[in-house]
Amino acid sequence: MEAEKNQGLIANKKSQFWAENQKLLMKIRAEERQLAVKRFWRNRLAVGGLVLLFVIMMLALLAPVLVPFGPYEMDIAQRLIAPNSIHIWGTDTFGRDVFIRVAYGARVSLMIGIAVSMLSCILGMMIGLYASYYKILDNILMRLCDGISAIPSMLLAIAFMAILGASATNVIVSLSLVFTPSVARITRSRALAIQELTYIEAMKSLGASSTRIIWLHIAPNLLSPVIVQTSFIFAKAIITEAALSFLGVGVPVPVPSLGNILYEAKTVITKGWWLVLCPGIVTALYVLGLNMLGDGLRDALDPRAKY
Amino acid sequence: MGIYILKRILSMIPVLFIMSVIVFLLIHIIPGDPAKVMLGDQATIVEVEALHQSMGLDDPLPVQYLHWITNVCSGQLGHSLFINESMGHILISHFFPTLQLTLYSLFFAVLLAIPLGLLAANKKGSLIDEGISSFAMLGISVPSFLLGLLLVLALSVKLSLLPSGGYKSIASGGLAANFRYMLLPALTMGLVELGLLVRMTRSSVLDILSQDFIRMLHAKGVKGHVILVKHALKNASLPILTCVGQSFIGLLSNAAIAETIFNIPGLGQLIINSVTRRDYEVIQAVILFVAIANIIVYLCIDIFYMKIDPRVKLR
Repeated sequence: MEAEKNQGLIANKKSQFWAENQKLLMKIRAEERQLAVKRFWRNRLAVGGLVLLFVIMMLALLAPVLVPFGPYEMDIAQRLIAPNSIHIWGTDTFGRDVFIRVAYGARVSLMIGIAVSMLSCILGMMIGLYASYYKILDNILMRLCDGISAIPSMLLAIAFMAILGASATNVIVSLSLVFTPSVARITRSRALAIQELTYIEAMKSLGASSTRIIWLHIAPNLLSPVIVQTSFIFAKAIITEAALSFLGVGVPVPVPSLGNILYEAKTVITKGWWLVLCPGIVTALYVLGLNMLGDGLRDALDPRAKY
Repeated sequence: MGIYILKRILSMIPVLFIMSVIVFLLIHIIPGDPAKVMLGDQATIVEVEALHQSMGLDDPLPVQYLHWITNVCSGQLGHSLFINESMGHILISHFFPTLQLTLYSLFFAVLLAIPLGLLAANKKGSLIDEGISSFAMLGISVPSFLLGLLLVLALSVKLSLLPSGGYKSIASGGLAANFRYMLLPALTMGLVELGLLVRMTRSSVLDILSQDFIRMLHAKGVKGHVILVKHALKNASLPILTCVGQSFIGLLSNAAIAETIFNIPGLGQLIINSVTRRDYEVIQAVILFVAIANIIVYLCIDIFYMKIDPRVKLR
């Protein structure tokens, strides 16, 4: 009876202690975050990147309201029309409106970019964190990552696409696999450094479980480099997807994507410059915006890091 | 030195092993029977069965891997279903155009990037720096396929200055013709690497310029450009060199884009054609080839590090 009561008391004390510990941590992290946000907004390029992305996303989302065409609507009589007041970016070889196709392509790219960066970020963080914490896993997981990154990313992506077959889902799967090792490596190296710090030793001697240490005390402290890396993966995913689709092994036609509009334009390049220029410039601005944002995030979150 | 190189080579073995397993497994993650997928819909059951047997697909995976890796080590990289030549010959004949393209692009990128990076670092924060940095940012953001198509549109279609595609080897057309055909593809591929290299040069030179010994050189009255080139650039050469190595591999593996636009019979075009023809063993061989090249390049960089910087010691 007495022992049970004691144990209950101890458990109560313990959870109280962890709660206070967590509250303090939250406070420190909130202050750090405020500083980072301040640094970010002071960076002209970063804010420019954000604005650029916002404009492109708005264009992608609002396009159906702006023009009265659908992305698959063909009008053979209106083939390869140069930009005019009705078709503001002209039409393609099937008489489809280029503007709406580029807008839908931007949506597809956005979806692929988000999915790939999220998947490889989560997967990479899990691999990196557990590899840094458990020595046995370290050898297996990191050698696996080394093996994957020994194969150049573009070729590996092409190979995966060849095997899995061309579709938007398979683009997401293969690009996530290709980009995961880079997140895993960054996570692991930061996590190893953090584990040497005294506070982790303190947490261990206070009896914190390994899950608690990994996810509540190590993971939040390496979020900055991971976020920066994720933003660059986002840009890389969009550019690689466009390249794959351009080569005919990415998102298959007729689903519009920024790359496969150019893939179709390749054959009629002499007759329709707008087919190259419009989707091309949107892709370039997209990637430019993401890279500017990534640079800004790096300067704000991780000021000491080099590229 | 010798021991260091030996140790580095030995440390490559696990990476080579894992990489080879991944490349080997590529064919085996094909959904369904790989033999059937490779031969397509028109193949008879007898043909599929024959390929199935010759690939040894009924053996357990480790046995198949051992079989495959011993073949690879003895130079047999598999058979193409469409090109009636040995795989080694296919790879080599397609490798030369890609290698030329890579070297031309890299030459162009390095030649421009280092002066631009130095200039930007020297005038940090000025209008020149902002201009160069924005140009570099633009370079890494403009997709190479867009740049390639625009160059074709402007210089070949509109101005007809340069050929819009094709390939002349040095042996058949001489260096001048080879260069004429390679110029546009090299510009197409080189701009991205130029951007990356400018950023790398700028940031690593800036890093060195902020160190105490540079201030001391200034105090001694050493001229600005001497400090910049002789002291800053020399000390910053390690990260720049790594970046050049990465660019080399990046160019080798991204060459597919320029090769499809300009119709150059290189490795990239080979792999893309093999994807449409479902010639999986060729894809496998190309990937193995480039991955091994990648590992060798990294080894060379590490050894070179050791040679030029005695501070790099064995880990």
